[in-house]
Amino acid sequence: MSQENTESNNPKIGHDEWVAQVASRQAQAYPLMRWWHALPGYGQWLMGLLGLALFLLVPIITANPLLLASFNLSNNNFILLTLNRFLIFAMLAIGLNVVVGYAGLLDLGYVAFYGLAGYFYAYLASNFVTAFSPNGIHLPSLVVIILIVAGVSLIGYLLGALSLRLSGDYLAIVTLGFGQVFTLLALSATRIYLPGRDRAVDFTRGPNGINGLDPLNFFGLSLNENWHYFYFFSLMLLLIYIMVYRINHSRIGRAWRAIRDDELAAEVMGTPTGRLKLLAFALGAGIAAFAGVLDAAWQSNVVPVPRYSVFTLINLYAMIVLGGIGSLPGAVIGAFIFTLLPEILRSVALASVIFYGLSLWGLYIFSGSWRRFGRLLAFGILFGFVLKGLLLLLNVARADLASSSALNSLIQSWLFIAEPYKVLGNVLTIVGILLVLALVIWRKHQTFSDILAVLGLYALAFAWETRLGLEPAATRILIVGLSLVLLMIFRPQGLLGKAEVRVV
Amino acid sequence: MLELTHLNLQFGGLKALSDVNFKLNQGEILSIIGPNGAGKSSLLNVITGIYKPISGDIHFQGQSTLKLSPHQITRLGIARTFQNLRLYLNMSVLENVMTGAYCQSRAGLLSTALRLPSWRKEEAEIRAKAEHHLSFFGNRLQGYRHQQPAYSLSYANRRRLEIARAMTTGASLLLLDEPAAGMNPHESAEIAEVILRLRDEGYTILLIEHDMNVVARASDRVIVLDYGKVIAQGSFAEVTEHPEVIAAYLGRKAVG
Repeated sequence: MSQENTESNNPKIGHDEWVAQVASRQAQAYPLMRWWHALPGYGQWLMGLLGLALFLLVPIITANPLLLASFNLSNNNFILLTLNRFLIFAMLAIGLNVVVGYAGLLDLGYVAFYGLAGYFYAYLASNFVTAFSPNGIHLPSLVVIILIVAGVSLIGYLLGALSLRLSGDYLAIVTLGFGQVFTLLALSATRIYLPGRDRAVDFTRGPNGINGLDPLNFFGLSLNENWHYFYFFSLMLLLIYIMVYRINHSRIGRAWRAIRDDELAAEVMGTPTGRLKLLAFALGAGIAAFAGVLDAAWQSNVVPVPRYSVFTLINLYAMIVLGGIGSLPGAVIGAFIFTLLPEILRSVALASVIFYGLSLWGLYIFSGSWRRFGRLLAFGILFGFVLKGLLLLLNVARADLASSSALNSLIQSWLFIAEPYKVLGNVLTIVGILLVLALVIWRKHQTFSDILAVLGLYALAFAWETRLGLEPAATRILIVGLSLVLLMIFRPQGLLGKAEVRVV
Repeated sequence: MLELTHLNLQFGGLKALSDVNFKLNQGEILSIIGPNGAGKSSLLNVITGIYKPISGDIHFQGQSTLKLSPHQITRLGIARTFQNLRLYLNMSVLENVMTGAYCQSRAGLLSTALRLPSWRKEEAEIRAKAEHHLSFFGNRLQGYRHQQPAYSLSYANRRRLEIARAMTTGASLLLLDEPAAGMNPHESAEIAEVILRLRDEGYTILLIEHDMNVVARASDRVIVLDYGKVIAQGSFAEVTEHPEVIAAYLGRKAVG
């Protein structure tokens, strides 16, 4: 304040400037971001293009059995299917980000728009609706997409109009109700009596969903293979990304963010807040509908649960929270991590690498310096071998576990896996978690926390080798959940989000 | 320009404003003073359409504003600042000001998504307008500060930013709600100059202020409110001599 009053022509004075640079200073704290920011402009572009090229080459790599073998992969479809799911989820996350991230409307009925579009696609492009012709309705994809996106946007607009006066928790409840009604209808609208018809009409085929939907076709070209869809989805994601980016960097995006920050001020400053909220709702619903059509056509079916249920909704929210609410690249990265991580964790070898990597990273964060980290690690290794020697001398029974990878056999030459290893594994899983918790609580106490860290590391390795690593189906969910918890503790604004200031 | 006739505002049993009448002329600086709770801020909220009066009428440039929502009133040409500062804290300084231009611009979704020439032209105009209004405060809100988030600004700069945002709405009437609150004497003196310069730029100003130095320096005419009633009006010198005003500020006994 005192600096404010000095009559200087140089504006670069005062504490304001220092405060203004907070974002770049914070970025310096992360090695990856420091590396990224240190790159020159063309370097960043080059890296981006390289990444994009690699991504776009995936179908070619996975189509070549020789290349596949050299990457030690067997099922090429699996990779492409996962990537296609990522592309769909990225579109959905971008749409949700418009509603939640920009306009600040907590919409829990979002999945219903995605599902509605899927069912509408089934009605307009399959053998399902036989009322007009015995072969069903088969409209060209372009017409279907336009019809459905417009129709579902309108539904989003109407839902928004009904709940316009609500905000926050109240809006969440109303939209959640809408989403649940949709799921229930999709599950149970199988015997509906219509006027002028004797027999009940099946609208949804219940939990089985509708199969045999047409593939997408444009001007006589039909998309039949997974890799067709891969390139088509990539292009569409890019278009949606650019569209939303442009809208966000315009008067409409500014008005949305203004409403999120202070709705009353926005209204009094000439922004029609009601109309803009409806626009956000409709745009979000439109993007969800677009993704819904693409998804239904690609998978050739619609299934109400779990695809259009609250599970998907939670996944989507986790994606945008992970990436950072209100961040467009964050939504895409969140979708990427959330569709790929659970799949990667299916492989025990990869899961082990991730588990030990995360453990070491956690140890580094905890120790705060390389010196202490090295000391703890050395003590940990020493502790393992000493314990092993001791137990060998005492002739304790050893379990014979097959190791699935080089890393596992390395770890198992250090660990002493005693019988009964399953019981011990269960016990040490709990003990390991308790030790980590104790470590967080007593982290200020140097010596004590060092001992806890060494013991914790050993317990976790034991737990992983005997229990967690052997059951990837359960463990992968655990790891995903745990990483989310840790992220929210250490970086509540998400990977690419900005920390928000509400009251100063 | 602005005319309030027999305006009554009530919250439950509490009369916030009773039978308020006054006229604001083009190019005038009118100050409203009064003790805390006299109804000054309620008056601004009624004029900007946040509160609806139970009776009476408000005319702005001959048009009644009672049926309009706040953003429509702003589009007609009334913009305000807030006593307790309501900036968009997480947006940059420049963006804060650019949002003010919303009611003056018209680009739709399609032209925005395609970045049509019409959109580019309008966006450039909005930016130029915002930069122009920020330059009103000399180098206080210039240069690197354009990209700074609003939460990092000092208190005085936030007040300036609110005024710049109000100017960007294209309003001809500015309602300033305690622009000098929380400022030191030097900054208050500067605010008085800013208000006079705003008038020179062609704005009409309705000022609510507790700082009597600012009121004395800037206002052409002063209205005194107490318990929602206008108890005196005239020049600053006239109202400060008025016995009811002295009573309102110092208590009945002081007048004796």
